[in-house]
Amino acid sequence: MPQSPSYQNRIELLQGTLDMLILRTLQWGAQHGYGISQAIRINSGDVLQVETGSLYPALHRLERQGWVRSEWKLSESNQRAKYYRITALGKKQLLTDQARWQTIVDAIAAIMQADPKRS
Amino acid sequence: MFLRWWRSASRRKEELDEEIQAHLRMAAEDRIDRGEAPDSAREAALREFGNVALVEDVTHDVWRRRWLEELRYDLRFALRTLRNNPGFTAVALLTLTLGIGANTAIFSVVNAVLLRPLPYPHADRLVYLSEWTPQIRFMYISMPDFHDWLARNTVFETIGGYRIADVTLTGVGEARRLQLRQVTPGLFATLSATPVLGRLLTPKDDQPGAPPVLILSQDFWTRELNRDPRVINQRLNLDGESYTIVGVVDNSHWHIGWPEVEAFSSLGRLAATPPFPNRIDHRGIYALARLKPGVSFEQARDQMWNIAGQIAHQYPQSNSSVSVNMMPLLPGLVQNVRQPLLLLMAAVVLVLLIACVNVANLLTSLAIVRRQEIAIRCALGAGAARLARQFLCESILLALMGGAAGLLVAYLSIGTANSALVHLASSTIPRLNEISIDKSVLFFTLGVSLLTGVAFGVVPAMAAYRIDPQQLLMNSGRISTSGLSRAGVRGFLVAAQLALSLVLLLATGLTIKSFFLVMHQDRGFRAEGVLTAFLTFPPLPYQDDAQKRSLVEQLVEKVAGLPNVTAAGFKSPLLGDSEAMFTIEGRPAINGGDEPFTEISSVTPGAMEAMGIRLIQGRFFNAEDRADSEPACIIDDLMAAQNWPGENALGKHLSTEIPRSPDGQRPWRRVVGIVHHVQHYAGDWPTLAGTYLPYSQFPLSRGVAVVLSNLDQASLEPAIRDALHSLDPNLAFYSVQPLTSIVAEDLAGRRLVVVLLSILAAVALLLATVGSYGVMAYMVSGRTHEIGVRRALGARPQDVLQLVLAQGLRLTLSGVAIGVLAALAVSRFTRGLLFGVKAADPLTFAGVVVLLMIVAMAACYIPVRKAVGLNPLDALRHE
Repeated sequence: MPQSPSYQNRIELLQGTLDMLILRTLQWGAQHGYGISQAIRINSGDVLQVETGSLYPALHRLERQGWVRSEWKLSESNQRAKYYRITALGKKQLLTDQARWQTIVDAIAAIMQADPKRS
Repeated sequence: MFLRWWRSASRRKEELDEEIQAHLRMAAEDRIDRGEAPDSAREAALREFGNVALVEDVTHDVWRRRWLEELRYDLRFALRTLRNNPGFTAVALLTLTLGIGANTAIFSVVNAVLLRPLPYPHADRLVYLSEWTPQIRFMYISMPDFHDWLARNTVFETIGGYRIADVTLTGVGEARRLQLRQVTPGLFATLSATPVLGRLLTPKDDQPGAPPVLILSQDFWTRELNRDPRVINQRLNLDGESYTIVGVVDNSHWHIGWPEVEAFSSLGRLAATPPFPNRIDHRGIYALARLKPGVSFEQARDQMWNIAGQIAHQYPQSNSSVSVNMMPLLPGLVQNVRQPLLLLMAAVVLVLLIACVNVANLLTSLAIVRRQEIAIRCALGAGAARLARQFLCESILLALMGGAAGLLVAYLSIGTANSALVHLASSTIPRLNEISIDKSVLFFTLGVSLLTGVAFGVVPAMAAYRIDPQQLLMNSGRISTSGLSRAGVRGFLVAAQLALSLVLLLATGLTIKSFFLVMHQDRGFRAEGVLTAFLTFPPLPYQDDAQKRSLVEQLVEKVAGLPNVTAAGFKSPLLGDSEAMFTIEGRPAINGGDEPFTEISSVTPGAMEAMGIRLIQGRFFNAEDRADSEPACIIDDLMAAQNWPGENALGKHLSTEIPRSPDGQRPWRRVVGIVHHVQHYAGDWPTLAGTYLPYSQFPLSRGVAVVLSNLDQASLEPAIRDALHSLDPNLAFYSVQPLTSIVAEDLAGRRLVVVLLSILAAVALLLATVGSYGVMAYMVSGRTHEIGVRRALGARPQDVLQLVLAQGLRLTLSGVAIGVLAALAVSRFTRGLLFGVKAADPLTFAGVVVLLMIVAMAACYIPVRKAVGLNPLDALRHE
């Protein structure tokens, strides 16, 4: 079976990063599972393809922790779908996650860009 | 809780499935919008999604795992906590084992006696039937009335009549009494009985004048005949009549009060034999019936009332005020023990509540010991809800362990107590031999344990919501600042405990007082020193009144002449159970059935004297009262007051429905003596006014020899038996026992309740004492520092003592006040069990209140004494 190009370019997400991406996506407004996966794919320029086997457990975990709320609504195409909405707690969590992620990125960047000859 | 979790879990699963289907549809639609063919688009979307079932499973686990994992964690942690505090665990478990064990034991009795259905098919459709008059609630059914019911009713599947008819079995060894029931075929059908051997009664056996047949009980067949199958068609001689044995039936599990019955014969064959055809004669027949399916109890009762109305209309002479009394079988069977058992159940629940309070106190103390651990857990992010759940988990685990131990205790105590209980009260409490731990008892214990766990766990769990971790950590050395150790909660617990104990102690006090009053009740006769010997005459040769008369006269004379015998006589019946209608000379005639009833008994000279019945006026019977002399009677003061108010009854005339003179007339009898009323049953069970007839004029074929003597049974019994044997070797007393033990048997039920209640009250008092002592000691130790300061500032020991005791007194008083109010509120439930005391008996109330105050103040005084005795400097250093 031929694999699609986006599948080959897939990047393994760091543990916890998916939660942050989902919360970030939901900041644009309530969205259903399919919509979230599409948004992440499009916004990452087809680099990040979220697997459903990770997406749905993550969504339910977020809901259990009270960071998102879910409700059944009709989609644009008049389909009944479960929409997720970020909660105030979720927004706070997103800020924490983002800050931590920034720290990690900076730290990794610092290591990667450091000039070995200078040390 | 589990159910709700289960339901929400299954709903979640459905929603998840729908969510994923929506995902697949939208993905496919996007592809179609991009120009793919619908079929391949759907396939591609599915492929892109991956394994739907796996995704569903993994997602669902997100919810499931947390619940199970946290439970496992909570349980492990709870176990560790209990293990690390062995002293606490031991005391708490012991308390719970006592509380739950007692509940399980009492409930297993309630379950076996009151709740478990009787072991017949459709037992809920079985009813008792008797006749009813305004004066007698359960009157025997007359044979013609019974047959009319049988013919006219459309509401019963089957009706069986039965009649107690003990007979003398002769021809097989020594003459002996056989416990016989005369029954109609419908009785076996109603009880769904099948023969073990041979057959039961047929309609042919039920015809008037049918040849007598006998069905043996399995027990008799086993005990006396070695289960010999050849007994069928053999003959037995009962009361001089030859019966053919046609079958054997197992009646050991019959619950209508006679598992001890040895044989059954036909009742219907006597229908044409006097006095049975007489509608006015009610001779020992009751009935048992099974409602047709779909017929309600009320429908059936209405129809029976209707039929009784028709009969009364047809036969106003005999039936004008006779109706039907109908009662469901089980409630009827247990009506006398229902209230005492429910009282015991309530008492044992009170004990459990007190035990709960004690354990709640212990848990609160434990929480204080653990405050540092709790503070750290709070600081590390454990929420109040999480902590509360942890506490609840601990308490429920504790309660379940206590429940398991309690079940074991109940099982063992039922095993050992069963024989004792049966011995103590088997005759008064039906179904006592059926007590066992069955499914309902197990569920009850489980439920009670869970409830208990929640009940005493809720206090520390609530306290968890008031925890301020920071303060807890900072003040870890100090007591009585955090929400866990608030004196208010514990003070409330002590007051509650005292209140509960008070209610139980009061109920017990009142019951004990009633028991003593009943025991020392003046019943109008003296039981001490009286030996009773029961005798039934076989018809041959005793169908003849002269034969009976001469035998009884000689027997009394012989027995009265024995050395050390003060008085002796023959009385029938011994006590109660023989009502007869009467009329008074010179008063307007009353329709049959409307006539007043009196309790009649036939006595020889010497019988009333032997029983210590006290003469008020006139004389006792003597040798002058012969069969052919003037008809005489002795009445009691109640009879005199009811029928000749303000007059002297002596010398007046009355006539009773039995005995009749040979021409069928009711002779006028002259009142020759007035005696004190005899209360036939213990307590306030109503007894009709009494009339005594001379045995010579009313010779019955059964009765009791009563012998007053200063000898004990062992030395007297052989002499009495010899006296009878010398007169007629075919006769034998079937039961010889002191009158005191017959009276005591009457009290067995009450005695059992008193014993059990006293045990429960003692346990409650012990638990309450331990509980209040613990709390008081704790509160005093919390004030040790303060006491030191006061002492250092010059307070005298007695000032301090007064101060702290006042606090304890306040708690005690509020507990006592609540308890008294609660006891007054519930007193109307105990009223029926009391005798001679009011439910609000001031003496008992005062006694119990004083007792409880002394106990509570003692529990308070000891720790205070210790605190005051401390050197002020030591007290100040006490932290």
